[in-house]
Amino acid sequence: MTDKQLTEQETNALIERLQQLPDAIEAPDRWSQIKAKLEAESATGSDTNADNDQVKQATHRKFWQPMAAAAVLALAVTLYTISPWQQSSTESSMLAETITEPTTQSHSSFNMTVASLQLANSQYYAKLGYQLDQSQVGLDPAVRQSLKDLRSAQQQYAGALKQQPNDLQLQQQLIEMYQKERHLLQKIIA
Amino acid sequence: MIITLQAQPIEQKDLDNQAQLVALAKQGDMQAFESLYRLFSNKIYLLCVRMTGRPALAEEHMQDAFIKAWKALPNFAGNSKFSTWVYRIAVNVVLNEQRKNHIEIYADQDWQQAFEDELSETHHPQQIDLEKAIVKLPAQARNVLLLHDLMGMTHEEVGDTLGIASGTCKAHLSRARVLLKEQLDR
Repeated sequence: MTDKQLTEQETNALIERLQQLPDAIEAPDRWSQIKAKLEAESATGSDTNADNDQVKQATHRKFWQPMAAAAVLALAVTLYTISPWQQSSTESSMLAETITEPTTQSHSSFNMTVASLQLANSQYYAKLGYQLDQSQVGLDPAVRQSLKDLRSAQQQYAGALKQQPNDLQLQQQLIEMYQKERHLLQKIIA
Repeated sequence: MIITLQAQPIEQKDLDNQAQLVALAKQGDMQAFESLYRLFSNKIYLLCVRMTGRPALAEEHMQDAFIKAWKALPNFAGNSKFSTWVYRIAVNVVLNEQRKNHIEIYADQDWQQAFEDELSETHHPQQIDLEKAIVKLPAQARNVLLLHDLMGMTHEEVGDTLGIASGTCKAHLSRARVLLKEQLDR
């Protein structure tokens, strides 16, 4: 520390100069990036509730990594259990077969299929969130709306299935919605 | 007490509007939050520029501050002004970054030119010199000076924010003012 001290007059003069400084300068417009980040976090299921700890540096990268890892692990387990679903070229037909032959497939198989699709999609959402984070570019509003519509449709089919759990058509449509969501996410990420 | 960042007279209707915007944003209204961003981003940006000396870094910090503010909004009790609250968030964002990656300003010709360009529309030349002198202060002295002399925090508040004793804060402030004057007198 310096031993020098300013006189009261010098201090006051300096403070006066500091006080006269402008209190703002034109900032680059970052709103679209901020909005995109917040929406991406929301879409990937991030907890948008209060993060009152202003000191913590919870980066987006930290957020998606455990989520993606969990999704990969769960997906791998599910694929191991229902391996035909894994083959992408015959994916749709195999799934259709799965749900059109209720006598050979239990409810747990359907539920596992849905769970694996959900987990796979959550992985894509996590990746998308990371990409948006890195690129600083927001998601196209039309694409965002499509994803929103797909999730809404999924909720509706899932709700209807609660009333009619054995309805094969509803099961098929629900799975199709998840597949469409995944294909769209794959396109966005590619 | 000096509160330069809030030195402009604020009318009651402006405060009411701000309170309304904050209330809406707390409920998740993104448009209201955008309005708050438009109201305060220029001030937050200048604060970050002063703390970092680097406009590009300041831009990132400003963005992070508003993202954190959005997340923390549900817990904003309204005990202080929204502006004060969001300034604190920005200060913490920059301080956290400084703790992780402490980088001193290398005040070469390119930096000086870039810094001057950034301030040229709002500052006259003497004010730019003062801003440059502030940025060139050692980090802790600069932070204390900014928080105390420009943001109007008390020594106790500055001490809490920076994690130092208020006596140390006073010493840093005294040193910062001496160094600042020396730079300006050169």
